[in-house]
Amino acid sequence: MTARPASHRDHTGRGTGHALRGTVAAFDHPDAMLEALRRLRQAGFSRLEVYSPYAVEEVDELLGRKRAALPLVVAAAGVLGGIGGFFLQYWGMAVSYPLNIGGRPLNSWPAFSTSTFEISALCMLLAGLLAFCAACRLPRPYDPIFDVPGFEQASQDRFLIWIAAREGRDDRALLHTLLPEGQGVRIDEVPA
Amino acid sequence: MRCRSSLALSLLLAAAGGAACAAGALVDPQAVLRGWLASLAFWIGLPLGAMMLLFAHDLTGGRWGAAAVPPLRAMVAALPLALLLLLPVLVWLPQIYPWARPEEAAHLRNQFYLNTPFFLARAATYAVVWLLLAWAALRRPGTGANPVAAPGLILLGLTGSFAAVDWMMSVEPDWGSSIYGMMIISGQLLGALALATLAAVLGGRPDGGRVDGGRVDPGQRNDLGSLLIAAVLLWFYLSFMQFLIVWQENLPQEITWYVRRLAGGWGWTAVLGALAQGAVPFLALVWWPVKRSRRGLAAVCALLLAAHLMECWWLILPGLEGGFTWFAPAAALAMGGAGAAVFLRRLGRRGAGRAPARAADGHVAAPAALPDGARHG
Repeated sequence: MTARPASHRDHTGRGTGHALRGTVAAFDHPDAMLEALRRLRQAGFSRLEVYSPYAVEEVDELLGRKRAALPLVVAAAGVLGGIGGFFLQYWGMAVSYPLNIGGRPLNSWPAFSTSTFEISALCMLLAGLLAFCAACRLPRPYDPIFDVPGFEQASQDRFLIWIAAREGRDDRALLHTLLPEGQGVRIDEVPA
Repeated sequence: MRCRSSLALSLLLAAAGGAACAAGALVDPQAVLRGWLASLAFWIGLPLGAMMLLFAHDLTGGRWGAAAVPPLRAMVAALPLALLLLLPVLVWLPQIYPWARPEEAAHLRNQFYLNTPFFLARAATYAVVWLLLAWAALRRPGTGANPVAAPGLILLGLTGSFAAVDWMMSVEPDWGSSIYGMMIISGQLLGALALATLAAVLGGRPDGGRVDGGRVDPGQRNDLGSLLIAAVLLWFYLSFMQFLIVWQENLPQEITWYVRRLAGGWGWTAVLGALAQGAVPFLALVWWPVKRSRRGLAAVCALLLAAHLMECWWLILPGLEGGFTWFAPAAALAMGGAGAAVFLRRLGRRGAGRAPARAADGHVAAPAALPDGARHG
């Protein structure tokens, strides 16, 4: 693709995400994308983002991502939901309205177990979904990267790398040597 | 060298355990037999579970097979031995099973099913089906689609379930549970998978002690750990569902099974079992560093195997007169030693060279010689 001349604007930008101009390279194959990502890291590019139809292994390591606290959030929600769900039944059946059913003890814990599990799973699901959205900065109705032609292919069969423009540097020539355009690769500019 | 010394140690353990049982049989044959049956429930489950896992892998594939298939095949090779070890139970049926004692069987309404000739005929049927399937599983080099796999799994599911009802559930002939067979099979799958993982993880040592022909990488450990989680969940689900349903019904003829197993020391055994075979391995394995580490995975597998042996004792011994007996650990030692000898011999031979790896007579000749050693000792 032809590269449009870069115009310096302020970095506040539109949208909620990247306020920086940048370049997007689209790859047909995840291995080519990983290879390019390695070269970019070696060349010193640090503000990178990957868009792919499925999670590609190694990308998190290459982008230097730390493990999110998501598993801990989900585990905590499960424990809290389990305790709360059990207490709800215990309080109802043994404290607030004691009822002898079939001669079983008032705290008939095996009978409470399935609902406790279900409530625990529901809490894990809801908390996990919300924490996941928060960690991914979702929902995001608009982002400048949506303007890149063919961006929707990131959820079909293309693997995209977004490279932030570096302050006061023109990396276009460098990028064109790092990313072998034409061999299953195309490069686009992203306006801020 | 290492392999030979562990082989000698297994035979020594088999001889010691066998001697204890043989001496005990002169004093209290019923105690020896109930301990024997309780431990056999564990040991016979390993080759059966291994056979199911082998067939399942034939149908689905997966990289875990490269690590787990050799130990699974070695376990299947111990099936003839396990069936031989059943003989004392079959010979002295009235010592264990109330329905085999005419004076106690009179009031039973399920005598059409639980009677000595039919019982022996069924046992013979299971043995023939299993030996044929084991032969079919071991005959092939272990790669590619096995046409026996799908029908084999169906046959194993049916015969395994019936065998569990016959050999284990019928120690209390008044009691019945339709989930019981699948619950026992899930325990067998869990035990076989834990032993195969343990052997694969420990066998992949770089110091030349490797027995599986290749090292187990973290990816394979990850997959085996995930499969173990699934097996733990299946076993826990089936076991707890049986308990939950019996608890909710609260019928006198059903709840007594749990009353016996939740009172006193057996109650603590049940709690310990739920923790050691359910909660602890589950929590350890969902944390991925444990799943991926060699030592962590091996520790979880060892815990699972110990807990499963305890579960088998818990399932059988409280239902029989006399309860716990020290002949159960002695029998477990005798059978485990003999079984380990077959297992190690088979794995070691495979590691030594490809050519004699599948000597067709190996898994038949070796077990036949072993109980002799145990008896003389």
